[in-house]
Amino acid sequence: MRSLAFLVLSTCFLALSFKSCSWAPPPESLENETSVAPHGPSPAPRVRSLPGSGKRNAYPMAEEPARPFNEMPRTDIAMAALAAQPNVAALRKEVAANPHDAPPSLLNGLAGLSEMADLARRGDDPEEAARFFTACALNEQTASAVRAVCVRHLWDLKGIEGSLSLNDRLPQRIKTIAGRLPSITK
Amino acid sequence: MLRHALLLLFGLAVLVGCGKKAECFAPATLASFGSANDASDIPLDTTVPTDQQEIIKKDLALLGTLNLSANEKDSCTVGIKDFTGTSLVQWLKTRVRYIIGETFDYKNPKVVAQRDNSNPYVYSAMATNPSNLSEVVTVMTNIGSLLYLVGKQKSVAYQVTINNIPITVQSPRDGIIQIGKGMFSANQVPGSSRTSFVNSLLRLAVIMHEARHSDGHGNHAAFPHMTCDSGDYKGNAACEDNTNGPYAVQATMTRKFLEACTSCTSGEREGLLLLQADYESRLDAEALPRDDRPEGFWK
Repeated sequence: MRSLAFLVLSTCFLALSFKSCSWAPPPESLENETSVAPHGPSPAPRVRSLPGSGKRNAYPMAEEPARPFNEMPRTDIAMAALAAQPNVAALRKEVAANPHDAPPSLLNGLAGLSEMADLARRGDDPEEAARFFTACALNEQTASAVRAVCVRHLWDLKGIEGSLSLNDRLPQRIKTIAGRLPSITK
Repeated sequence: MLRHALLLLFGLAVLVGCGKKAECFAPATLASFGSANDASDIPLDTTVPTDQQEIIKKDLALLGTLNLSANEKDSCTVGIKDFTGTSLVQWLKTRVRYIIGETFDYKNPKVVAQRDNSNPYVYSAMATNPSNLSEVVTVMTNIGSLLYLVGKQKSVAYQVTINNIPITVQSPRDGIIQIGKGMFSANQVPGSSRTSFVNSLLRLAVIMHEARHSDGHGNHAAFPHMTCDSGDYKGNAACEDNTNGPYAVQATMTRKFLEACTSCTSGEREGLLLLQADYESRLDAEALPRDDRPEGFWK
């Protein structure tokens, strides 16, 4: 009887502990990383709304409540690259007309994406590149293929361990696609 | 008791081992034709415009010059022993035997034989013109598979005439592939010329996708596409549930071509990466390897 009571009590304790773990805020590794960014420890990032969003800080994040936007890029060039990435709604229309081939607008943001990959590769501003790839990867309105490419680049830049806080917030299918892509940033 | 447990574990291990073994099917051995290491002698019908002929012949010739790294998984996906130029050419030539143009009349084929009835799958390969999104243009279509499967549904065998030679479609492996202007407009990395190395590689990946439609049998004859049940393309016939079907082959080849694209600009390499991601996104999460042995009268 005593063992049974012990068992019940320990189960309750474990269940409560687990629940409290799930309430814990997600790791903030990327936020910490921004404090050593070349821009200095300034954390009031210059954040602008994306075209059409009309609201400051209205950037949609995947499966995640609103967070401070120190994960957003800070340079005009990166923000423009982010805004140029194709959105799922546009792709869906094209795929409805032609399901077989890659939708043409998939490559619309290629120049910006490539510029950010170059930034990471050259090592000029890896933190800005990381912020771009993070924001790109978490944007649910961006095409999955683009998000997966951004995840791949971020993994190359930060290592999978260094991207843990991002990985936790990504849908499995994006991580699966990213896992099949080769590393081309290095 | 312990003996039984050990036996059970052994049995499970054998089953798991068998399952893994069955994931890779032996590459089919159908003789190809012409040169062993040059695919540019694949016959082109007179309906293929001269400018398209010039480009596609160069693309096909390029395939034989490639020497790509190999691993077991990629070999299983594509159904090829390795990725040398010679193997790639042999692989392609057993699946693509004729290339016809957009104006080729395949809609009125001659019926030459009665056949058994079965369940067909029909698919098409079209593209949206990037400069006019309301216009849908042909990139490439595996007409041989289409005629085979429609014939299978109607219990007949069809015959078409290519360069004045009558071809009776007895299997998707008769490899009649139609090429359209979309292949040279929609299917390219923006900013790179039509004849650039990267765009040749992209066209080769499309050709290999269509070539894979010449394989498979039973319910998976010609490796049909399926409606996506999740992801960006949910509800559209833009996916597949095969780990070794056309999109899987195209994704694998695009990744391998990226490896060969050492002289490409970073934008071109990024373009290949993005397209690989698109093809990967079309693979169903529960996709399975299918028996890729081809179906046909001669089976």
